[in-house]
Amino acid sequence: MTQLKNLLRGIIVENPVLVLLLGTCPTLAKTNDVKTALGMGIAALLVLVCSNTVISVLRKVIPSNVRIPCFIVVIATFVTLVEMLMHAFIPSLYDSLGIFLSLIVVNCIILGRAEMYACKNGVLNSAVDGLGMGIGFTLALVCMATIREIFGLGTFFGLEIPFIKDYTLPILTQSAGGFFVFGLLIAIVNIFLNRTNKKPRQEFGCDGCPSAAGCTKTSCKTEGE
Amino acid sequence: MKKDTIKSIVVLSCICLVVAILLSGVNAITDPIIKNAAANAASSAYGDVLPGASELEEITGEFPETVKKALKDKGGKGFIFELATKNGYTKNEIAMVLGIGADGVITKLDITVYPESKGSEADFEALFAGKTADMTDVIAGTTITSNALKAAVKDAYDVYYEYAGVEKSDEQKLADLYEVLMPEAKDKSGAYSFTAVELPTDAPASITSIYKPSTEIGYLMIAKVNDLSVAMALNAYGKVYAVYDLDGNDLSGDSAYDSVKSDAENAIPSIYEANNDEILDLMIKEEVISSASDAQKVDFSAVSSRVVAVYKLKNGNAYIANADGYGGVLTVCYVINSKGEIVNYATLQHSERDNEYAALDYGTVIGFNSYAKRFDGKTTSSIDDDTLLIAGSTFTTNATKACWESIKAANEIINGEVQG
Repeated sequence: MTQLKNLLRGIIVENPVLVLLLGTCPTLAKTNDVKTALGMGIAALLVLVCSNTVISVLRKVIPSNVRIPCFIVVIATFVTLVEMLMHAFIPSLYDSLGIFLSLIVVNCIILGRAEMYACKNGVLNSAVDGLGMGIGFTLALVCMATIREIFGLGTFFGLEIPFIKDYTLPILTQSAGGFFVFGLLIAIVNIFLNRTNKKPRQEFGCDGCPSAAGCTKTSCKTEGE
Repeated sequence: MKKDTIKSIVVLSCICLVVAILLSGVNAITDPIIKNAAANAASSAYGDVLPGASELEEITGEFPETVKKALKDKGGKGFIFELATKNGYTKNEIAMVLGIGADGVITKLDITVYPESKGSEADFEALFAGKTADMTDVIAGTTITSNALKAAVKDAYDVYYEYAGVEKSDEQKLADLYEVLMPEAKDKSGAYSFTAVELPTDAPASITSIYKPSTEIGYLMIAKVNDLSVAMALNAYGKVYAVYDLDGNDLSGDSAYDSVKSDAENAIPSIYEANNDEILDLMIKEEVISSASDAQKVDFSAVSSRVVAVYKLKNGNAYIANADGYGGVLTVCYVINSKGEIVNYATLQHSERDNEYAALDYGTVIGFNSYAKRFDGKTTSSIDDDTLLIAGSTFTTNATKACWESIKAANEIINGEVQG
């Protein structure tokens, strides 16, 4: 039951994209169509689960003063692995993700989860956390891509949708349209969380952060103010 | 403290070591698959880039780094090159297959591996089709990658010229010499843009072709002397200042080329006439009535040493004067007809910074720019400060004003003398 809660946290209450607002760059850049968004999400998910697991295993070995370099090396390794395997076996997806695949290394979600969660929690918990966050990231991307592809291109998963095809809003496929849909989704999630009394931000500052419970930084409170 | 430091180093090193082993293992598995796929993509593109090519023969030799493979069609349809460059924006390898037809024109460029952001491959493929080595276009927003591709294509052409049994045309050789002959002809984007000028019918036989840069600062000419083609650079006044052979050897000091130099200079008036270069046409064609040699006739030193030359025209005079602007010498030319109307104005030379002055008003050296338009419909008596001055460049416009006042005085002296 706790694992389920752990998993769901990443999907809704602490959704990395729509609540924590991390990983915005691939979110805006790779949500033109559902296929690419799904590929991007799954690639990040794989990296998240693997890096969270490994970092959690190594959490007692890694000295805290070099933890960030260690995390980055581990993350970069998994990204490179995913990149090489994808290049060899799914070249079409590799081509469509382009440079954003390598940029997973600097995706805040992954380093954020390593620093925030994996280096303080057990292996299973960390893996499940990574999975939840990864699914949350993928869902958010697919959601956004669905809106942008259907209304921007008039297709879904590459398949033409008859009527809408003739009345597309091309701006949705552009960056500006990406921001628009992004903002819209954040607003919807906010409304939903408000209704269920899980307000994402009760107040500004550290206490209002959805991740405040997991944060052990002592100076957090004063910094936030 | 020391123990901690050592521990940090050891742990990080160990992690890196394990990671390196893991990565090299996976790379060993995936690399051949990736290479194989790339090779297949390249060879399957052959028929596409050079339609009709039947039997291909690989050429071996010393190639530039970007040319990975060169193939020649035995049926004479042309050449196929496999190119790869790492000079694109991401510095990852871009692989292409290039077809060059028997006529030396690109049949097709097929980009097989493109690590940059998606979307511009098709633009590039369209950009190169039908072009040759000296194309200068780029795709906006992808300048670095455009330049990398152009460089790779140029390398392929180097191999093409070596093996196709085709000499580079004189025009292509000249293009290689732009930097030497006329470095100042670069436009604002740093590229050379020369257009061929139609050869005047009465041009001397030795002159074979004439080119004009977009910046209009002079001309380049190719001439034949005893079967040797030479390139000459002429300044805007129509004087030859450099002679090179097409392999880039400097012949400027060689008196053997004096006759061809004067041929080139003699061709200038007809070019001006044919191209409607009004001021220069007038300046060059007409007799000089006063300059250093004619000082006794009209003593301009009485007016000002600023007026450096006066050219007598059919129906008026052209005056050239200079003064010191903010950045250096400013040279202006006014063409004034006998009724005292300003027929034309040109800034012949200025040293102001492009962004502040030239782009706004003074324009390129020698040119009919927006500043020149201020003189439309003006007469010697109606030119005032509003006409001459540009806000924000007081120093330089004061120079233009000084020039104008000297020219006005000179014009009065000349007209007085002619009429009197």
